[in-house]
Amino acid sequence: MDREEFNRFYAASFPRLVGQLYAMTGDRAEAQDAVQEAFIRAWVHRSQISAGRRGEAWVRVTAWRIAVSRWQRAREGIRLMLLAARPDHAAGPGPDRVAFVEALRKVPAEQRRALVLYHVADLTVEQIATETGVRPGTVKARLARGRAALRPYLQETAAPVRE
Amino acid sequence: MSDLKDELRQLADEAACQARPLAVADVIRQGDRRHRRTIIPRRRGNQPAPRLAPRARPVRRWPGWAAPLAAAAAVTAVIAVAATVPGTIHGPGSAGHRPAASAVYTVYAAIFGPPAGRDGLVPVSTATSTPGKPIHLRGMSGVAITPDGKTIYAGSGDTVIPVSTATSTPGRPIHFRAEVSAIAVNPDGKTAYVEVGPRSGPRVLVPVSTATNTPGRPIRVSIEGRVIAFTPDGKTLYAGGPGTVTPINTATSTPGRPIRVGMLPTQIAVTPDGKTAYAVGFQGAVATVTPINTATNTPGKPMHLPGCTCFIAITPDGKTAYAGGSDTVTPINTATNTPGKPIRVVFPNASPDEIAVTPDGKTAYVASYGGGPDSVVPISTATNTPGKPIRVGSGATITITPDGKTLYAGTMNKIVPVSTATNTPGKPIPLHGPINGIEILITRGPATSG
Repeated sequence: MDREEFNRFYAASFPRLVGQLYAMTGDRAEAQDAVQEAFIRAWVHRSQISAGRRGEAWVRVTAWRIAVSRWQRAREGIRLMLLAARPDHAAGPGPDRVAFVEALRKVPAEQRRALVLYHVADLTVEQIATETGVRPGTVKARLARGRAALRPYLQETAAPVRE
Repeated sequence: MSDLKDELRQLADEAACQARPLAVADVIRQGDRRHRRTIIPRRRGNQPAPRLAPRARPVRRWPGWAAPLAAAAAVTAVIAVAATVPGTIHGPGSAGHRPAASAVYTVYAAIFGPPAGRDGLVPVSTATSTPGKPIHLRGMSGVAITPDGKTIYAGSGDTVIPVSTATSTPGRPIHFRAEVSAIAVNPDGKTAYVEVGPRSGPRVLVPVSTATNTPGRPIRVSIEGRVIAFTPDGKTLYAGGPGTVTPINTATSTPGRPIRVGMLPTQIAVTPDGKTAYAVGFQGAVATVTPINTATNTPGKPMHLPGCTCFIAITPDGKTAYAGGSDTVTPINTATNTPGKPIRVVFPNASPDEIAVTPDGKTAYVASYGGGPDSVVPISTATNTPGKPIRVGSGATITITPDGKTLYAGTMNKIVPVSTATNTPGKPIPLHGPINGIEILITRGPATSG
């Protein structure tokens, strides 16, 4: 990937990946920082990365790992999700949204990750399995559990999981 | 509450809209620095230490709407257009367009590294369509030009450097206590306002007399994201901060009561009659435009628009405001504050980021900082229909000359004149190095020279 390709890749993918990481982590600042750091690493490794969906997957996985490792460091004395409970002054979500975000934060991280990859990044179960390094059955289980945990907060109609 | 997919997507879209990336130049710089660290050989004996890449420039804050700009801003150029000597342009315009106009203009491209040593202003005379000698301003950040076009103020670290456009020479730096992130000049030309502060933490606006270039007493106000606007008479400055817009009496430098707009404004625009200020931004995942009565400084009923509403521009007659982002631009009737039918403006892999209206009000040009080469789209304000995209190069920002005859698009590595009569691009004016994002300022004043 040359500089121009990277520029375009960065411009096109950065906001989208921050959105996905935010939905995964529940912390906007953390999502932003993790994606930012991942793009710096992507530039260092640009010879091994292509722009487009595969490149995005690389950055997303890297950003997720960065976020997770930060969480782990931050766990000293503090529960992981307390970090994510920082108020966000930029937005003014309504009570429904607040309740949903709070509920989402209580869902185990890997389940949240699967939900976001499936519903936001539009990956298939197989693709999620590849990206997260688990079997497709595990992905399905995570999706089902995550959905079940959030059901009280949603008026969701049952939809079959696409392969 | 609705479907899980919708909820997750709304959350993600909201965060995406408000993402604030570092300039790509900083990403590349930091990446290169790390890479060099890994390949630098060990020193032997008294061999001097190998020189690392320059320290990364302090992080710039970018408003959410400017994400594509910031992302693409390896080099940022500010183009300032100033009328000079009336006459015919003899530039080598292409068959498609000669940037013919009744006046000659000087375009200033403010270039931001990398490397940081290349930062500076490049004057370009539209008469010859060639860049002049660069004015080097290391580590340049915000830039603004006085209405008379005589002085450009450029932020550089914790200083602002006034540059005379008559002589193209930088003056004595004006020092501040923290990093300068934005500069705006009052329409009366008497005062420049400098946003100063750390990336995280309270910021202040410091008024600077343009007559003496001396800073005044800092104004403590909630401000974030370089969101500053003035009423046309210059008597009131509006500063956008988290959830509020704060009016500041420029005569006394005193802030008024913050106006609650329920969002982080990404831009504020004031109608030509000065009666209404429009703040655009996000409320949750919802794009919002809030009108503010400038007489009472009270907010009106917010308008919710599709997509990420990132920018707004008002026609010279003040009758219509165009607000947009994502893939639409929505005309707003300013008399009734009602949005019209959204106009779809789609850029592949990018979003509209900026809009400029010609002085005759007939055409609104929408530009995208990212995406492909067709990065400017004209919209007829009579019919509110988009025209054929104009191929000026990847990632453009735009300015229109005061006479309205030429639009200048700054792109990756060049400035492209576009005839507003025919919407055809002329011969590009090359600039050294990749330019990916451009901010634009236009002087309304008389003579400058390149």
